[in-house]
Amino acid sequence: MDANGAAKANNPATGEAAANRARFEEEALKHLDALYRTALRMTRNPSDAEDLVQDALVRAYRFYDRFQPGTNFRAWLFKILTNTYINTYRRKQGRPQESSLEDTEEFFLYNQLSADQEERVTDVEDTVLDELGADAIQRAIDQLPPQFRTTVQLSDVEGLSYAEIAEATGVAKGTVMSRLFRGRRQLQRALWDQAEAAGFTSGSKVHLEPSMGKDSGSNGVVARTGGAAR
Amino acid sequence: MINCGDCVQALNAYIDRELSDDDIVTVREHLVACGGCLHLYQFEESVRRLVRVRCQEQSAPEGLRVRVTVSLAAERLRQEKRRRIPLE
Repeated sequence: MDANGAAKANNPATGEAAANRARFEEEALKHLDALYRTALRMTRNPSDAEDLVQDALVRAYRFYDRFQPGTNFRAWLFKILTNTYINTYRRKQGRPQESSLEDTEEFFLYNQLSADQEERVTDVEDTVLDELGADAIQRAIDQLPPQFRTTVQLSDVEGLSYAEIAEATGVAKGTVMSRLFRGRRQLQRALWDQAEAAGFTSGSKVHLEPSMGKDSGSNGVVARTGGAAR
Repeated sequence: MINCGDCVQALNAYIDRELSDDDIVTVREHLVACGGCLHLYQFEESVRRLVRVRCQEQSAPEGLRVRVTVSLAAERLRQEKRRRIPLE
């Protein structure tokens, strides 16, 4: 028998379920690209990422009646994605290894790219970093430790607010902010490493000066920007 | 008027649009007056834009959309079947 037709025609309860499913599906599929991109950063494997998104959306559908209308649907979906990943995939993949990335000074790229130029750079697209394609940038994000990676992805690629990321990853807003702070510093370093690995930084007007930045940090920037202000 | 240190500290939250209206005005006033901080702000925002725009080029595989639609339909059937089984 045609379950769909029968449900709609004969049973008001299942007719409502069908309408519910249609509404869920329509709303959820709007976020499919963002969910897939984030799953890909979590699993770092396209086929696991597809499985993860599918599992997460089936779970979300199962619990859809627990979703409070009027609250943030997108953050709720990402929360289920995160939980599904932690419960199934991370277990399968084993404990996440610690990243080998060292903590980097803040504003690493700005300092690096402004190092030997008369004028300060104001747009990264005017620099060798503009050569980086999507693949290289994603590889750079993949270098980050898992908690930082997801937080940076949700913020800097998917555009979630601090509150949404807190909801999605199950931590306090302050934790989101400190993960973003450290994650972005490491990302800048990782972007530079990608540019170097691709050979974009050699023979250009920008030279790598390993000694630079040892003691600059944000204070270095403050000192110099302060100078410019006076 | 805030100084450069305060401005730099608030810069990420400013770019993320997470500051209160009052703080936005305060940071903006400083950026208008301070060329150094303005350059840094413009640069940091351009890095954010580069990452966002390039990474958003990637979309989900078309097959995934179909897979999800099919598994949601299957899940609904499972739920209906469960509902139809009378309780013992």
